[in-house]
Amino acid sequence: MNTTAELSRTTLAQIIRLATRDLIHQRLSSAVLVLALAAVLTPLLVLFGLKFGVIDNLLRELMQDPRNREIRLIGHGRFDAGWFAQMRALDEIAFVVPRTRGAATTIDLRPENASQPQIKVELIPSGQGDPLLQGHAAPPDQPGSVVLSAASARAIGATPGTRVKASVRRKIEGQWSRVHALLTVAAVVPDSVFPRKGAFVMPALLVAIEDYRDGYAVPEYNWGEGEAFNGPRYYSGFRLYVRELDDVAHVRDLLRAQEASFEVSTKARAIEEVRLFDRYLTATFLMIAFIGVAGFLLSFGASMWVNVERKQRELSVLQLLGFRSPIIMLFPIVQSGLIALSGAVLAIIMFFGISVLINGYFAREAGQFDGLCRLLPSHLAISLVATLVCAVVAAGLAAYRSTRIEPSKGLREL
Amino acid sequence: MARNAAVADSVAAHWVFRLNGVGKTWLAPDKQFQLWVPQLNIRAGAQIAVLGRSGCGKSTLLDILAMTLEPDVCGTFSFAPHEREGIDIGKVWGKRRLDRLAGLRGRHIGYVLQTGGLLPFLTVRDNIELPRQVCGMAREDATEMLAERLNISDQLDKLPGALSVGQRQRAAVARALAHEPTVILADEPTASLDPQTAGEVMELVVSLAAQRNITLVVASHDWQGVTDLGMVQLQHKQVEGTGKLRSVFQT
Repeated sequence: MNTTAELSRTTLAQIIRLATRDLIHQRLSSAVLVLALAAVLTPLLVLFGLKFGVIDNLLRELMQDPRNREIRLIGHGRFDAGWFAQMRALDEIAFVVPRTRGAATTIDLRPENASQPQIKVELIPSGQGDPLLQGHAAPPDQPGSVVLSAASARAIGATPGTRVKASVRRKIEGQWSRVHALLTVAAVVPDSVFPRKGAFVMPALLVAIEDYRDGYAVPEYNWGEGEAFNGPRYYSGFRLYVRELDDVAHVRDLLRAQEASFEVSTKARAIEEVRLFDRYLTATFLMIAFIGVAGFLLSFGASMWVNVERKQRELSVLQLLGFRSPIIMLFPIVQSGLIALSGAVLAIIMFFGISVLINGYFAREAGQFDGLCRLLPSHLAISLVATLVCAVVAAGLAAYRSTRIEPSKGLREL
Repeated sequence: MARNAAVADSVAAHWVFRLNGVGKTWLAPDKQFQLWVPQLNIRAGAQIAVLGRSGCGKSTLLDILAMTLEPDVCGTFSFAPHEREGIDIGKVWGKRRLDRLAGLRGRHIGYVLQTGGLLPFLTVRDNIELPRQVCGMAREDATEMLAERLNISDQLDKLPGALSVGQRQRAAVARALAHEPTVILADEPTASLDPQTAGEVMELVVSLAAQRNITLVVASHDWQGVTDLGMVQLQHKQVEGTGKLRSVFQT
C-alpha cells in the first residue's frame, strides 16, 4: 500500500514537471497566452480602480460634507435654552448651537498692534463638536478665542496666536458709540471650510454683542452703562447638524411638526439626486463590468480550452504510456493555472503602473484628490483567484473531455 | 526463421492474447467498415506480422490489442501477461475501469507509432526513460544500452524535433523497449523511412524483441520485408457483407 502511495506521489510530481517542461518548450505561445490574459484583465482592473477610486471616494466625500447634514431655518424663530437642551438630547442631532439675530453677526476686526484698516467679518457661533471645523481645528473653547477663516486671516495678516481687536458699534438716540474686545486667534481654517471672511466664536460673544446693540450693558466685557439684560432669553435661530444623511428628513419633519409655519431648508433633494446619480452610475459600471468580465472569462476559458485541444496528442501519448486519467488531467490544469497566475500578476503590475500615471495626472489637475484610481488588496486577491478558478475549471472540463475519449482516437486523428 | 515458429508453437509458451469474435465497426464516408477477428491467439514470444493494404484495419487491430480502443463486439478478449490465467479485457472495458487499462498498458505494452509519438518537450533520454518512471522502475543504464544498439547514443540529450525521422523512429523503438514490456506493438514503424533505414530498424526491432523474449506484433504493408525476417504472417481477407465491408483477421 505504501509503495502505491509513493508511486502516485511520484507520478504527481512527474506530471507537474512534464507540464512545466512543455510550457517552457512552447515559451512563445505560453507568452502569448499570458500577454493576452494581461491585455484583457488590465483594463478591467483600471476600470474597477476608477470606479472604486473616483465614484466611491468622491461620493463619500460629498456625502460626508457636513454642510449636507445641516438643517437651516429660513427666517426667524424663537428658541429658548430649554429647546436647545431638548434638541441636544436627540440621538440624531450631532451639533446644535444658538444663532443671534442677523444684526449681531458682523463685527469689525483688525490686529491689535497694527494700524491696518479693519475688515468686516461674519461671526459664526461654534463650540465643542462643530462639524465644520472637524479635522481642521479645535473649536473655540473660551470667550476670548477665535478661529478665523482663511479669507479673514489673509485680509489682516493674522496667524494662530495673533491678538486681534474686535469692534462693535451701536447707535442709541442718534449717538454712535463703540466698544472693543481682545481676541486671540486659535487657528485658521482653509477656504473649503468657510469661503468668506468669517470668525468662529463661542455663542456667548454673539449674545454679548446682541445685548450691547439692543442697548444693554455687558458687564462681562465692560461694555456700556446701565442695566444688563435680565429677561428670559430667546434665540432667533440655530446652527443644526444631524449625525447621518438619513436623519435629515426625519429631523426636518420633527421640526416642522413643532410649528406649522416652520420652514426648514435642507439639501435633501440634492442628496437624493446625488444618490440617484450614484445608483445610475453604479448600475452602468456593473453593466460594463459584467460584459467585460463575462467577455474576459469566455475568451480566457476558450483559449484554455483550445490549449487543451492542441495538447490532445500529447495527452493521448501520456495515456498510452500508462498515466491514469485523473493524473493526466493535471497536465493542462497545471499549465492553465501557471498561465493564469503569470497573466494576472502581470496585469496587476500594469494596473499599478497605469494607476500611478492616472493619479499623478489628477494630482496635478485637481490637487485635492488623490488615489482616484486604486484598488484594495482584497480586490486584487479576488481578481487573482477568479482568474485562477476560471483557468482551472476551463482546462479541467476540456481535460476531462479529452481524457474520456479512447487514446487511440487522440493518437490517430491528428 | 525456424526459431520464431518454434517459440510460437512450443508447448511451454502460454497464450498472451486470445481473441474470439472481437469486432469494431467504423464509418467511412461512403461505407461501413468492420474489423472482424473470429479467432486470434498469440503465444508469448511470437513474432507476428499483420499484413494488408492501408485502411484495411491493421491499426484498429493493434489499438484493440494495445487496449487503447474499445471493440464494439467482444466475445472473448483475454490478455495474459504472465503464465497465470488471462485478464478478461472485454469485461474491464465494459466496467469502464480505464485506470486498470492504463496500468496494464503502462506495464506490459510497448507501442511504436507510425510517426514516433515522442513527447516534443522532453529530451530523447527523458522520453525513453518515461515508461520506466511510470512503472516505478529503478533507473538503470538500460537507456544507454538501447541507445547504443539503436545507434542514437549521441542524440540522447536532444529534443525529438532536432532528430531525423529515422532517428526519431529508433528513439520510439527504444522507448517501447525501455520498461521491458510483455508485448511490443508496432504500427507501420518504418512507413516514413527510406527502404534501407526501414530494413535496419525492422531488423533491430525483431532481434531486440527476440533477445528479450518479448511478443512482437507489427503491422506492415511490406510483404517482402517481413518474409525476409521470418515473421509469422497474419493475412486479412475482405468479405463484402450486408452493406458493410468486413476485414477479417484470423489465425
